[in-house]
Amino acid sequence: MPKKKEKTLKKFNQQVADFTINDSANASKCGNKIKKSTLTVPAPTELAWDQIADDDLDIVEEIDDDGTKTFVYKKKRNHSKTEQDIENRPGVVYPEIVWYLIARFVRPEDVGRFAAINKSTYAITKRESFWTSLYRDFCEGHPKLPTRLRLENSYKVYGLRQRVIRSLYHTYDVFVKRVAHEAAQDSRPHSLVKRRCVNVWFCKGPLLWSIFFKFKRQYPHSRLHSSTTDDFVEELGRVDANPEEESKVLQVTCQSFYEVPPLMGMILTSVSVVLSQGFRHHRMHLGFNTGCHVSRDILPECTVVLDTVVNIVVMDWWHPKYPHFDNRLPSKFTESDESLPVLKNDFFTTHEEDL
Amino acid sequence: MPNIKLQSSDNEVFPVDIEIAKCSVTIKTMLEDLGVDDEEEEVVPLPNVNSAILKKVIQWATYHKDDPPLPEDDENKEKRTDDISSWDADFLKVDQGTLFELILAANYLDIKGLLDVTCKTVANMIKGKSPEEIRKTFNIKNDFTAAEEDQVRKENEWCEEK
Repeated sequence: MPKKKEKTLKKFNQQVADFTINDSANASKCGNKIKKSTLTVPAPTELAWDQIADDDLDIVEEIDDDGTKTFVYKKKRNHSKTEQDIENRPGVVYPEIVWYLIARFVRPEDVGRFAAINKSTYAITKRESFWTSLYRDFCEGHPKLPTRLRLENSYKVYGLRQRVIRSLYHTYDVFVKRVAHEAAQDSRPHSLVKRRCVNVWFCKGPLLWSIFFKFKRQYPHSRLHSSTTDDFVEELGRVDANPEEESKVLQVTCQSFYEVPPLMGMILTSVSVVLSQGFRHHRMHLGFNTGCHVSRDILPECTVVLDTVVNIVVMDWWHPKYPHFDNRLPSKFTESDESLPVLKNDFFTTHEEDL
Repeated sequence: MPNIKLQSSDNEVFPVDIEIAKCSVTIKTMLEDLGVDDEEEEVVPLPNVNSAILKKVIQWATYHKDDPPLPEDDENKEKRTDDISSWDADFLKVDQGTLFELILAANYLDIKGLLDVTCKTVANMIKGKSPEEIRKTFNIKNDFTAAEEDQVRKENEWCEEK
């Protein structure tokens, strides 16, 4: 390897040293033209493998010459934009007050694009006043807003953003229609592959059974300027606290009860939905492994087969039927180390009617 | 009609009907606090507004001088952004810099009508555009790193249409 570097350097010096007027002005073609790539400033230092965020890596199957298969981590993209790049970028920095004034008129469906304009707009979407204003404009007093989400009943700054977003999915027409539209489409259970199963529970309705699988992203995203505070009061003031941020729930409604083996901690590696015998229902196969490698050659360590499937729904945390428990402070702030309840009455009473 | 002189940050003086100038709560309060008589032709310095923007503000206030006073913000009322009059829409067909300066001027002069209509115009221009398109439209500097940008997008997946 070092030899190769020396060679490249030598070649570069030679190219620069041998450069004459004839090379440029009188030459019929620029044969000795130095490649742009040779002259560019050194690329920003590559991050060591252990400094790269897990989410920036993809597991790729590679086949060697001798036919052996190996799994390798590959970088998804190159984060080459440095602080200096940002300084030199074109454009105007408007005073924050301008964005604050405009934020009053941002519609809920535009919050994401507003937050992504620059750091000032992002910071505004982290403020308590931004979410209380959205709540006042689009949710307050709405007849379809469930009691548990009404800020009038219990106002808490902690997790306010999550509560208002969930409220919007009950009251704001654009989102309500979006949920109805998504329900009519394919539920895309395949999107759950590579997620870790953290909970499984059942629910019996008058005619049907529902099995719920809760999945979490394997490598949670770190939040921008996330608070890693140990200060209890500071934690209580976290508007953007959302314990469910990385979670999705898969609800499979079947005609019969199917026992599910313990899956907690396992990674969902395969999903398939086929027509079941008689063509009236579907059969769902869920493959689980302890590792996260996804390949056709790796057989699932545990397979769950659910027959007579009537309905499959994948719910994000903002879905109106997502089984939420009250926002709780992280366990480090609570005296006992009890975890979230696996079963809770109010959840089942909410969902039984849908079965 | 009694006039008042408004002096911009670049020292240009605009004689304005006092009733029109009182569209601005800032100027109105200033005149009341200072006890300025309607007969006097006072010069009111406006150090935060340049002449080009002040000219636009006066043009807007002159057109809207007979408008009924705007109701106080009804906190329970959904804020609409599709109720901009055609005159206002034409008036605000300006470059992005002017539009943002008008917002700042309206905020400084406390002219609710102008402030609302300019903010609504920007909010409408944001609709349906990607963050990159928004930045391009308003010539806004992107101060996010690629990783931060990605993170903001992920945090806001809840409002994206699938």
